[in-house]
Amino acid sequence: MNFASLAGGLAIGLGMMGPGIGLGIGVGKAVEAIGRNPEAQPKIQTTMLVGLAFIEFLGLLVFVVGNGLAGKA
Amino acid sequence: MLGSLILANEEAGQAAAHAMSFGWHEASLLWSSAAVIGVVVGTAIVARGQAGLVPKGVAAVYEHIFDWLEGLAFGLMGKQGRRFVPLACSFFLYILMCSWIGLLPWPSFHEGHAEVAAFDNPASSISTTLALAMLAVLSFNMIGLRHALAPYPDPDHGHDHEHAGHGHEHHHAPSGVAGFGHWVARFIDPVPMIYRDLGGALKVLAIPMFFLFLLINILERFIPLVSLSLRLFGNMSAKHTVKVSLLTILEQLLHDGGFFNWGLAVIIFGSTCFVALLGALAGFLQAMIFTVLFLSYIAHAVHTDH
Repeated sequence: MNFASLAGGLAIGLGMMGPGIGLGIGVGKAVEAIGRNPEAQPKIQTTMLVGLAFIEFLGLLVFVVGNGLAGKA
Repeated sequence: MLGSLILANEEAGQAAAHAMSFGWHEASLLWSSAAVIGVVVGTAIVARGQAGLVPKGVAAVYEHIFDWLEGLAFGLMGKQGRRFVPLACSFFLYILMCSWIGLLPWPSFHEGHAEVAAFDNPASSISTTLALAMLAVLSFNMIGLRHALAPYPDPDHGHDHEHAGHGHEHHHAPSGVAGFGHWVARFIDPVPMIYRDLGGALKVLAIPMFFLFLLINILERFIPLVSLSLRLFGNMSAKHTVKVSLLTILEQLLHDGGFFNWGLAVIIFGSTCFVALLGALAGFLQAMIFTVLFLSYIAHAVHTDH
């Protein structure tokens, strides 16, 4: 019996949890900051997007690995 | 003999093509890349004719995009950023069109699995994204070197208005040989400072630090090659993968038939459309993130306040 597909699915499902939480915290804090100081919105938004891109990259690594595992079945 | 040589060459080519392929269709990829270039260049030519004091049509749209990117560049490195907006804008438009042209395709079913015919998203292949990342990495490294040898004029210099950039304490950036020296010195960035602060025998610690920071600084300049390309590829191909697997399920359901399966098929079709629309938004965001990261790497390369 080959567990590769299951491993791939689990890898994506579990691995995406961390980046998901991280993205949520990041966006939440950015919205909070914009709420406090709406004038700084463009600067906060740009910084947030760059930060999100770095967090998201971890999720993409998970995707690539999970996809590779799932393809092995 | 010539024939066998050609045959061997052909085989090698096929093997190479097979090794390069990531499971998607090279021919469709080339076709779509050509279409993207056609769209971007074609609209740019049209926009040239419409430019003026009051731009209209395509020119107005392009001007809007340019203004927006200019705002982003100003936020990252001050007025100096204006110089790099055209390059960033081309990256943005190319990636945006790549992902939006991928929305055009209609599913075609053949030999038991779903395929996306007509247009494909060129950015869902690692070849395209790696090429873009190579271009970006080469550009900002060259810009950094060029800035060290002959600094770009800084429009913020001398004006006392607030700006987001940093590194304006230096009123005369070094140029020529001194600038090149600075550029080289940045490869061992914090080591001279650490060496100065360490006392007595502890100064020996600077030797391993020298090699460590040299490695880190060199890597820092080339890691974007991996991160930029993999980020774009991952995002675009994830969308592609989800769409193709949904369409495979759809094909199976339609093949099996029956009332219940038809109902399910409608739901699956709806979610495929939803994923495609979400993809349009994600494509815009990815194009923007690539551009912002590219601009921020440039900002890092041209700020010399050490």
